[in-house]
Amino acid sequence: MGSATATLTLARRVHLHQYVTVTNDFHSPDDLPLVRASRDGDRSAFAALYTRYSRMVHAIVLARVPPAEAEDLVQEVFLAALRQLHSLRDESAFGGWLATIARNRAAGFHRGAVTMVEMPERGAPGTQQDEQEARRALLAIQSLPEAYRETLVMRLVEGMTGPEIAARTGLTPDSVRVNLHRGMKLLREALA
Amino acid sequence: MNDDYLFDGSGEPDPEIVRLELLLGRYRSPVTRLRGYAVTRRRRWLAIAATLVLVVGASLLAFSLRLRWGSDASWDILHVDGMATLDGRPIDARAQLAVGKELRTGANSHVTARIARVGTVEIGPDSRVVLVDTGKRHRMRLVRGTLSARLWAPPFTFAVRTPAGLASDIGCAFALRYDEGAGEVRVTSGWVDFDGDTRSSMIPAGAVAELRDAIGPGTPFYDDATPAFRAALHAFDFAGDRTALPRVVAAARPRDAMTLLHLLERARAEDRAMLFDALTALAPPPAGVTRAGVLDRDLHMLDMWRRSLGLGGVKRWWIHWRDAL
Repeated sequence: MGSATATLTLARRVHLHQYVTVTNDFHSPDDLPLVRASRDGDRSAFAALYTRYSRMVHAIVLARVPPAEAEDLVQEVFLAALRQLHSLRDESAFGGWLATIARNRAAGFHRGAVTMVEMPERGAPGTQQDEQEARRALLAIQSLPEAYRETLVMRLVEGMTGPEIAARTGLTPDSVRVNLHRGMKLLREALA
Repeated sequence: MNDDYLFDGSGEPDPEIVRLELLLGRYRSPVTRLRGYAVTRRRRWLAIAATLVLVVGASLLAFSLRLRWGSDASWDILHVDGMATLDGRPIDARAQLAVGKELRTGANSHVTARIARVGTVEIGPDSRVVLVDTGKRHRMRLVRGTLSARLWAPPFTFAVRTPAGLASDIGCAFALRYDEGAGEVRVTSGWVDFDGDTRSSMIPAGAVAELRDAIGPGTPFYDDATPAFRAALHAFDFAGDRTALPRVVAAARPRDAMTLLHLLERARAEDRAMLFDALTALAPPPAGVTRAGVLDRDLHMLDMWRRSLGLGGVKRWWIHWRDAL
């Protein structure tokens, strides 16, 4: 029975993953002037891109690494992007390109021999029980399929709305809605 | 319950989602500025500072090399236009001017030579010059004719001896003419210190001073001074005519305050009061300059007054850096 459930769950995950997987060929014309100006050395333009995309990058990273490491990784992602910006062939694909860097950096974090240090979380102080619950919820999200965990972190952690998530990631709003719905369902199951 | 609240925050809040938002909000990204961006900016400032240090260092090194010159080295002849000779032998632009050599130009000839590494000198037609000394300082003698020098170097690096006296550069460009006991020096940039047998003058840019053997320079005046002013000044300077001073004063424009200030330094005591009053009317003295002090030829006060005329500081020779180009 357990094996059947596992097989079913795996099949469902594969199916869902195929349906909602994040694409990297997302084009955002709004980014064009900022990306071009950044390539020309305009640091204020790059700062604007940072403001626009930092929550998305943080969510992608936090979906994979401990919270205490996420902020530094976000900085690394943007610095890497700044250095590699000249290699971006399609300037309108900045969002997808940045997301790929973020995923690679987060994957690299796990490959490296990194000492993980637990840091106190930011935000409003809560009880020890709240902290334990928060950690458990995050771990549960991190165990979900990639597309779900990223979308859920953007929504539940970063406070982004579905349309915002769609605008940043290049997913259609419908795909975001499906990701959130199915991801939330899996999360409820995991936390039950 | 639909997913509207989960999707865009609209609709009826789902208590479980609200609870998760509250719990997980502690992990939210602090959307601050990009730290590395600040680092990059700091690095940029460091790079700018390092570049500045390098530029200043390279400039100092280049300037030091510019001034370094051997006492046995010859000057390069850069250009020969017409007939010119060195110690009687015809020369072309490949020639070099060594210490002790006399350079002569023909009636329609010009020769341009490099003054070590600090500037250039052009010898005009029908002239005779001798390179007297080179090395740390460079000295020429103008026996006859004209020369113009343009250089950028510390004061007194270059000087030209004439029978009327010694013209020394103070970071400047100037033209010198001398023939048959008389001549003139005309300054186009910086200052020239002309030291004669009986008097000396500091001549600023834009001014001219006549020269006479056994006397030295006349009082400097601006080239656009009126004929009446120049004639009266000439009479005072070279004919010893004290009665010309009131005519000088009467013909003076505000711009001629520079000349009157020079006259204050060289006029007799009984003439200074008239000059002081005239100068005060044209260019009031700055605070700290008193009538008594000026009549007593207090050098500090005279210097303060001169600086108030906007003639530029004699010591600030380096501001004429364009003369290096």
